Amino acid sequence: MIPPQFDYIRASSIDEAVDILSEDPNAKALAGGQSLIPLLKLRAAAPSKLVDIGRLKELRYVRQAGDGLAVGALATHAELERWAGPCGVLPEAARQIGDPQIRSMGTIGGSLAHADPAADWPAVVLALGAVVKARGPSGLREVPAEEFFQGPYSTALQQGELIVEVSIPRCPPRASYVKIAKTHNDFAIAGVAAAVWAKDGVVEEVRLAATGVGLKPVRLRKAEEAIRGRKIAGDLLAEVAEAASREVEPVSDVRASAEYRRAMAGVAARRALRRALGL
Amino acid sequence: MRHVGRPLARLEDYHLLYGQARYVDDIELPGMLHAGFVRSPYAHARVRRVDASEASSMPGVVAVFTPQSGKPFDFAPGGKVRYQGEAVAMVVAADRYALYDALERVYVDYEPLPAVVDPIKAMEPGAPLVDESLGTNVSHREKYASGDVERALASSDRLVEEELSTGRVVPSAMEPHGVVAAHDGRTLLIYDSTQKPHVVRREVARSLDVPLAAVRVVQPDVGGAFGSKIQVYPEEVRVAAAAMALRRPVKWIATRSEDFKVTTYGRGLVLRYKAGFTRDGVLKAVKGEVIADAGAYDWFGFDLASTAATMLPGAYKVVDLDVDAVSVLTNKPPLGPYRGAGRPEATLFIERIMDLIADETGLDPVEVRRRNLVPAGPYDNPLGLHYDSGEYLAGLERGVAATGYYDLVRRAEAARAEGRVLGVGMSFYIEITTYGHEVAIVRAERDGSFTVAVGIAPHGQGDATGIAQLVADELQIPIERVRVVWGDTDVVPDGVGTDGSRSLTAGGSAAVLAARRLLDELRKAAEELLGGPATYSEGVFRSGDKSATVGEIVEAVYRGKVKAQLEAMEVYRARPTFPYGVGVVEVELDPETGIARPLLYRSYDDIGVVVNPLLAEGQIHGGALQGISQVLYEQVVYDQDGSLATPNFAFYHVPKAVEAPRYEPHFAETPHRSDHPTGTKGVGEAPTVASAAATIRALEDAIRRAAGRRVRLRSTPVTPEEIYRLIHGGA
Amino acid sequence: MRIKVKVNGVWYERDVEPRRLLVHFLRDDLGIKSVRVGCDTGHCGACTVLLDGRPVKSCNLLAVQVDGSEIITADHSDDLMERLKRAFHERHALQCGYCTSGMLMASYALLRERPRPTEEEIREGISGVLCRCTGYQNIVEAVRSAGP
Repeated sequence: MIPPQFDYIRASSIDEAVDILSEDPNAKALAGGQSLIPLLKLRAAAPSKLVDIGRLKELRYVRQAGDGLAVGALATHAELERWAGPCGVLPEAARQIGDPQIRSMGTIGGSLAHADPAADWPAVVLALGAVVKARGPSGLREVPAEEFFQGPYSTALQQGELIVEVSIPRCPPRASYVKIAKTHNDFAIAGVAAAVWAKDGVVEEVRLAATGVGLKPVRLRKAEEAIRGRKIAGDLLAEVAEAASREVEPVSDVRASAEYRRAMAGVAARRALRRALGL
Repeated sequence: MRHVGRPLARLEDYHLLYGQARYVDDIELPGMLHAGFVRSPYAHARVRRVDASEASSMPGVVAVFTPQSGKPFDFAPGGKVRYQGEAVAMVVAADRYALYDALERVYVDYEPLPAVVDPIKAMEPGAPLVDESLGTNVSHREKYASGDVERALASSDRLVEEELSTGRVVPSAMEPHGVVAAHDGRTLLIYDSTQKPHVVRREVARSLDVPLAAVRVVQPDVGGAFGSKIQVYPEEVRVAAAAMALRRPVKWIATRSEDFKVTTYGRGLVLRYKAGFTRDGVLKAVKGEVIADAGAYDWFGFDLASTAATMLPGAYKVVDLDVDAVSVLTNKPPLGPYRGAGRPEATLFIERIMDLIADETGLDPVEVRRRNLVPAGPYDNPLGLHYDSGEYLAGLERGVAATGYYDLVRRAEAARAEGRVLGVGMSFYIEITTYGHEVAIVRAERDGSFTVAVGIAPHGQGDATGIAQLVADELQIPIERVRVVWGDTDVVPDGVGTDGSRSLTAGGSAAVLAARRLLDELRKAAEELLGGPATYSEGVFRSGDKSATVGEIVEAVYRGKVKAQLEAMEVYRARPTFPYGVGVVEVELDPETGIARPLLYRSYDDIGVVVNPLLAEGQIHGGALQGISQVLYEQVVYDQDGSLATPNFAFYHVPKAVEAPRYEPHFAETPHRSDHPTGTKGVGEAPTVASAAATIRALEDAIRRAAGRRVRLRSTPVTPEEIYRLIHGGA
Repeated sequence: MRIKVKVNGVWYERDVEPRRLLVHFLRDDLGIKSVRVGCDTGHCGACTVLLDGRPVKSCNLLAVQVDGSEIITADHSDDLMERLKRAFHERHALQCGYCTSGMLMASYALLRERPRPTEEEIREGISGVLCRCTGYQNIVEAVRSAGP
């Protein structure tokens, strides 16, 4: 179909984009457009203006930063798929998004800002303890991923704010993202990202986060508790699955019932942990 | 020199590969306008008023047709819409972008009515009526019976009663529907993405009351159809009418979302039945009804139910049958033919019954079929169909051997040790193909080459290559000297088009016979020219020591030296023929999630003469995936109001390369010919017929291995969630 | 808005509405009909082109987004594209042909990056293009045989 009419501004700087977006509540930022443009075509969105930030090269990077990683908002899924440095869970997750064409254009910042409750990056950034850096009219703001997602398609971003970077403070030595989808690389029935720090065979720290199993991506705190401080062994997995299934609050839709999503949260948690731990 | 039987690459490829394809949306005519339709958001509603005033005054808008515009713009017949997406108005604008803006500005005042979505509920008294004038939602019912079913049921050792169903599918040709029409004052020229240009021509001429001779329909390249472009949709007629009314060419191209609203849906049949069988696995009787979820208009619902009913016995010996075919109106888009059109359903139903007998008696599924199969054709099926030829019992044995069915069963058993869950299913099928007449014209050219025009309307199957092979062999000339043209009502006066796996058989036979007749005509001229009885071989007539090439004879005709027809037309009546065979599917199941993937499709098909194995195998590949996908991936969901919850490819899944199996087709080494001149039986639908039934059994087999107990699957598709529940329990 | 785009080696300059989709720019403004529309949600991939060397779905981009960029469509000719087209023909990797341009572009992008892909990589590489006719096997074999 055909998008409705809108004005188009190609931002030449972050400041310019922020200015326009803060002036007009109906303006929307356009990054890779892989979620937004289909919505426009179906006339499910009708912004007054699109502020194209796609050419802001300063937002397109992936680089190591101390023990962690700094990922520019405009890093594409394809670029993250090819990332060969630490935080190997990024390429692992990127490969599970859409298809090569979608990955060429789609960006991590765009995906986070869109906040589809079954998207992949939200679970991954939660598990990585990432901080979302946003620039707005009042400057730079750092929002922990935990606080960033507020509901379906709803985030902590305020009017005029743009994601500029996803900052991962510490790359976990072991991590994995497992998605259960009805069809290849479809939106998750349940997806779980696991990040684990272990020492002498004992889980010192763990973060598990799930997508597709509620109105927003969530940390699986009960599942984490079930294994934190425990010795790495196969029997951890069943407990994790059980806890994960129990703590999520999924909703039914045309893809899957809440009960099935709940069960799959457990399976995804178990598999993500198994893969992260190499069990 | 012989071409038939060789795996020649297609003659149709070049323009498709080199940017010269012309699908209907690629056609631009001077002054062309774009049409679109305002569609109902409700599945069932009275249309109180259509207000086009705002849309009419928008920039770029040329015309808006509403129910008040009269025929053929009689949108919302009876003052109501009967399915979500039914058109209520038509906008014609100068370009696509203005069109879509205007479509949003036609305001329709609807009074929503209760919708009836489920065909079984639609049959109950008190259900909302789709068509009040009928007083019932049962649009058509007919009984097909033979023998004494009650006595046979009473004398059976075991009885079973259940309901089987095949869910609706969206045909999903990659090219959505579309049409361009232009009227030059004398001729109405229609470019249409259709399977049946001559049928479109007749329908448009009739609807618009113009002489048939004044209508030319051209089928450009068509991006797939699978049955969905058989129906002549109201849109096609209305676009033509608009072109006449506005004196400008008009184009309508459906968007994908629109295609989900307007296209005819496939499958959508239910079998409610009772069956009896003996303790040694012989089916004695089936009593039941095949119910078609016909949708809002019974375009094909009854035909599909009746095909499924009459093919229900398959090639099995059961003679005591009592099967009603019923079509039921519902507030959904009309049902239509989809690859197989009644035969995949019949086969899924009867093969489900065979599998049930196997499970209930503990017999091997192959053994059950062995005990029930008619040994060989010709055979008169008790419901009135005449199976022409085939060795059904021997075909089963050969099929089981060729597909390595038992090896796959052993592999599935062995895989347990590696922690993998595989499942294997087999089906035996027989199906009906080919019907109606077909027309071909063969023309001799001045250089001795030949042009063949056919009324079939292939769109990817490769029939033009197949027919070129057949005609080249008939005329004993190189294939390069035969050109096949089709898809234009100006090149051949009539034809039925491409559907029902009939094109090569009906169209090819017409072409072969026309070539034969033309050769006879040329021979008469040659004999006159050469002065004695002439023989023909490889493009040359010989009489004694004199000879004349076809080209020389044609030349002589044009020079007035001899009289002859240079063109021969054949109208060929094609009776049905019955391919049969075995399909085997291997799936892998993830028992923790219920997600299953097809690994392998193997088949053994007796499709008569295989004119081109490369193309025939191509049909097996694609057709098998559609049958497999019907079971594993493709799910149409409506909510209780008849609103489509799977309105586009984001929700309705057409499988990708990563979700498709390997295919290993085998064709009968000594095929049983049909009695058509081509000896072919058709292959377009056979794999879809075989694969769906085999896939559902493979799933059952895998679930049994995962769950450690037998399960019974009764409907398609089978979702991962359903499989998960079967393995792990739960509501 | 005025944009300048290099398509198959030729620069084009045109005025477009901001909302104009790249696929319509290519098809309707430049007449490059090999790029096709098969859906409206970015799933079918019939509109796949190369944008500065990367495969993208031209129905999921605005024409204004590609101002100054280089586009390659299936009409582009070089050794790899010719090998692919020949292989598609020989292996019967196309039937109705509607997805073929998209398949060629997805395969072309894949083979440029990975000249000798595994079957799994090929299937993943073309997973963004739907084909309803072939069941994919012949396409996979064509792509494999088109490598160096």
